[in-house]
Amino acid sequence: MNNLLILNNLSIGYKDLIIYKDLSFNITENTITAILCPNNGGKSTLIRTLSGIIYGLDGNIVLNNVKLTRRNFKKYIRNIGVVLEDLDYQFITDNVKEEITFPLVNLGYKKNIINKHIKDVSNICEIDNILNKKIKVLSNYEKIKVLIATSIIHFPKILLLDDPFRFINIKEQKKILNILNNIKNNYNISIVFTTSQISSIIDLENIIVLGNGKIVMQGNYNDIIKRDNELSKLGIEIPIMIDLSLKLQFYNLLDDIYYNVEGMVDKLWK
Amino acid sequence: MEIILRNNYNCKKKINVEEGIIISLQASNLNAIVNNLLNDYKFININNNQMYFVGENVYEEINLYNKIYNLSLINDVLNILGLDDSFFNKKIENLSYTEKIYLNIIRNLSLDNKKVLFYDVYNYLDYANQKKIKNLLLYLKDKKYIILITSNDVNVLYKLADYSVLWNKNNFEYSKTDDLYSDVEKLLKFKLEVPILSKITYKALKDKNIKLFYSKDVRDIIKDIYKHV
Repeated sequence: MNNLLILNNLSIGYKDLIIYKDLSFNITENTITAILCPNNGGKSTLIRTLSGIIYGLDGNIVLNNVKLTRRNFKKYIRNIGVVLEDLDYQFITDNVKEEITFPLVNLGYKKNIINKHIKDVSNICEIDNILNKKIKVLSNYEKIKVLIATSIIHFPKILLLDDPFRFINIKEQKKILNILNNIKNNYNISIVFTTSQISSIIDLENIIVLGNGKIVMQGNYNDIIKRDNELSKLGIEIPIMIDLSLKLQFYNLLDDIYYNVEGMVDKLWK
Repeated sequence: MEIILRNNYNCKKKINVEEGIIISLQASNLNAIVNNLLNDYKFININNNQMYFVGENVYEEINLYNKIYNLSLINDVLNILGLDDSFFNKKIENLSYTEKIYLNIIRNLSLDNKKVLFYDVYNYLDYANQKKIKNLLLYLKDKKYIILITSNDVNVLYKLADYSVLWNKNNFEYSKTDDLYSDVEKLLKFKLEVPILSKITYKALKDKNIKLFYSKDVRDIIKDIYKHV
């Protein structure tokens, strides 16, 4: 698979504070990548830099063969959809349908194409039933779905999300992950999201763990979870069932990670 | 102190609370109960979903919100949260989300009120910051605050609360957390979530006739499992 987003020796932060120095990694086409990072680790700064809201201090970012520069800015951001951290500050209108229509009107799309896009995207983001609702009455879970729909309505190459699971419970997190998966499969949009919670990344293939200003580890979920001590040192909490499974594995009482109590109890006392 | 909890059907339940305790709320109708509680008893509401800032920097924000009532308490809180005086000079726009949560806590604790609700504050935070919040709760408990907590993770409530409220429709219970959360049959009857460690102990007995202790800590239950496998 081709590299879609390339970070090459990127340094990010602010004038008086460098958060990451010489950060290099690639995001390949048609993938979902989680960036796992403890609180205060620079997740928002990274997403803001990748989406062109703030400029990197050094190094470069290339998306779909377009290098992010002041001159290429419009061409670069055309391929990006982004959902930022503060849910309430991102809405421009007060109604769901108007909100997801706004980017297309702004880009000069014709009415029949706009209607088709809205139908398709609201279906895949599971917001068909709330299209006529006011933004202010939506739950956080619904707001995230609307923000995702608004961000992909122009079919970018990549969707960046800054900690989308922050305000929702585990069941809702799973549903959002399912929606992101459908977006990737149906529209070939690559997804990159940040999180500080392991419960949000279960079974993912591409995970990058950031901490202390660098990439600490990279791999799939099973690779990452085995390094539980390093994750704990970074301040990342290991969910109870995983923590318990790993410790019981250490004492040769289990041979695998169990995510449900029934399975674990059955295995322990066969 | 006597508190009357009300849900959105105006069904009322009385609980007696003492100073210096942490009480968890787990209910099917939680938002209505919390809103009524805030209206009726003027608890300080520390809620990550309601963090709106107008000041330019932290110092201005706190002063706009309220004059600091107890400076030594705020200094202690800063210390517990791993912050120092330089935090006051930080610009709001440069704060990370975690720092905004901390600012929200500090400005609320600057109020002259010892009744405080921590609404889902714990949820977003990573392990290191959860530990800080836990230490803060213990500090406030020591200062005789009445502390209510909610969380969508029942394991957090089990670990932190001294007393717990369980309320689903007509089923209501208020008692010591250890007693309530080790009565898994009752939690299932109430159709409320069961902490994972309680569930393991319950399933081991029910399905395998293995008697484990009810533990709040993974390390404790591992020792117990080790003895019984």
